Amino acid sequence: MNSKKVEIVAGLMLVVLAAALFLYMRTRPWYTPQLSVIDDSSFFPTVVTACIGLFGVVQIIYATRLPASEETVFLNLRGILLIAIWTLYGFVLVPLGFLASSVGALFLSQVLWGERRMLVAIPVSVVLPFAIYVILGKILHASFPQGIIPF
Amino acid sequence: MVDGILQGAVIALGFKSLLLLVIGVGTGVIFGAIPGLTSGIAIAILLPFTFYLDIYHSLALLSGVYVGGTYGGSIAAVLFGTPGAPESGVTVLDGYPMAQQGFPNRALSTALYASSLSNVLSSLSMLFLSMAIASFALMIGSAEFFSIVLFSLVLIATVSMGSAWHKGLTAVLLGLLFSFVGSDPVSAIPRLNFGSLALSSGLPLIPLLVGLFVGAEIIQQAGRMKNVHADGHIAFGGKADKVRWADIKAMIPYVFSGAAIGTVIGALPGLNAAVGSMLNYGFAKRVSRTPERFGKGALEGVAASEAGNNGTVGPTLCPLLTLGIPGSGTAALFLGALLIQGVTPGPTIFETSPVVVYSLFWSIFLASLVMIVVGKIVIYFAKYIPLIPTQVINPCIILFCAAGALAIEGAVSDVLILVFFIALGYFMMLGRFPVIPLLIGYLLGGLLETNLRRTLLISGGDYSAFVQSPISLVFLVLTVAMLAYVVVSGARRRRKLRDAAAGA
Repeated sequence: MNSKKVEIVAGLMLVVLAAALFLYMRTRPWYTPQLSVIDDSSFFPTVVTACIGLFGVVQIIYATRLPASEETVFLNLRGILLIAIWTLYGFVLVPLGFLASSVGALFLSQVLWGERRMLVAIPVSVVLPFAIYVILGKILHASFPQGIIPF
Repeated sequence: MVDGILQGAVIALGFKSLLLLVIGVGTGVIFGAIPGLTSGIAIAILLPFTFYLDIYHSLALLSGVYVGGTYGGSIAAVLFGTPGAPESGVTVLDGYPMAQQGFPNRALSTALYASSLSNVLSSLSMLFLSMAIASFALMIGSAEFFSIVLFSLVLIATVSMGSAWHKGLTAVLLGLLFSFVGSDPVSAIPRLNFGSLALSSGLPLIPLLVGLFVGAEIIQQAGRMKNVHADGHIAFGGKADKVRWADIKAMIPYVFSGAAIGTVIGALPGLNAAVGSMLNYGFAKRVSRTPERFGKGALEGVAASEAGNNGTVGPTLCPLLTLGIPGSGTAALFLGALLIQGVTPGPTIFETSPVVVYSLFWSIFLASLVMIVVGKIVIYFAKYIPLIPTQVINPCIILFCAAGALAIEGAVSDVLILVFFIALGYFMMLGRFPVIPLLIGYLLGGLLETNLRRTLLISGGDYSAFVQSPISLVFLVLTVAMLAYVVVSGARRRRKLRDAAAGA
């Protein structure tokens, strides 16, 4: 995408974020503007949200005045897919457990990143989660979800 | 004070501390040396694991990583012409030509000695500067604190952004917004938690810090599949490729100037090690009798650059320790390390936790010495760094982050929050929004709001309290002046850009 367009889209997203937040806050019981800032829970969030919206507008104005640019911003598909994998990881952690979900996420991430040697990707995907699970979960007693693996 | 210094020394010289220091320095040097990874990422990965250490050992480990990482960047800069970390960008100018002329070991050893000596000096300046700032900070009240925090936020947001000042400020505002999630710090009324129980006590610190660091730095590398490769065999020469006494003598003045410049730059919020490196290099070139050698493989250039960036290491932590204001991304991570151990830095730290400050000083001091040994070993293996498969390392880093986020409280929601901030960091980088101001805005949001409301509570709602105090007034005027300057200079730059485009 053209860098000028990216700037405009970013500005628009800020304006939309500010508007959505403002609308959300107005529906909440804690949003009760007081005469004094001292006991007003909504004062700071309101000011900050308004400023975010304002800077979104500034961003759009500056971007539209920029000279036409040939510079392109690449939306990195691999990066997006990696984020998707790790989001899914967060959701399957409880049903599958730390060990099984980590092995899967690590293997997929390596393959996506370009690791084609299965003799490297598979051992790393198994050994590292297992080592973390033993050190943090068993020795240091961190609470990891067990899931489908019964130990 | 002497008792505290001695206690700090005893802790720092203990076997466990020294072992963690060595591990930290080694990790930092390796992370710094791999292009794309930084000491900040290493600290972010290790941060959740320090939860299982006590505060002193945790600081020993992180100091080692910080010191080692600041030097480590020079390895890739010298051998491959690619700075391993942003602060080593200037080292490429002379270090890479030296390596190509057959003196890679001499260049790397010069960088190592200059870094180490500058670090020793920076740890001393950290100690004395912290004492000076803390004694000043004890005199300030909530009005002054509000103004200082506001000034720091504006400085951090705008100082390195040029005409894109609004992006820095937007990042700070987003950080402030995230700090409001949870409950009102004064009345404890729940707010902005979106009905989620997981957010009722605020956004968790570790997933936010780690996610932003990793998202910004690691995910964007997924698009660049190839490792950085050396463009030929790196031959470490014989006797001519060793540092001589004359070389040491030649670099000494620039080490001192680097430590002095680094102290000033490091103590100012928003300015980073790269600025220290650039300024000291410029200074060295100006005062040198042979400035024409700079940029073509001058040993003094390597020393000046490395001394300049390592000189900022200790002083960067001064505003954090004495005011509770992290002036850089690394300082923000150190704040995270202190907070998860229950230590709140601020003006009274020399009264409440003096040994923490002194042990940190000793850790940085000792890490500088340990670095000479570890650095020498790493130099020997440095030529193999391009062989490290980033396509394996980077996914492992993400898993470490997820495990770290999960380990603190065992909450799966923390992993989802981590991924949210990884994504946010990545998209911010895509839109060229800086991540560090967001981080610092998040960390300082509570301090800003609490001090504003406390001041108004004391003054009975009278806003003039902020201008009645001379210190507060000075910082407010500086904030307004800074904002006016960046807006006007930004407008000028954009106009020049438009005129140039119209003329073309």
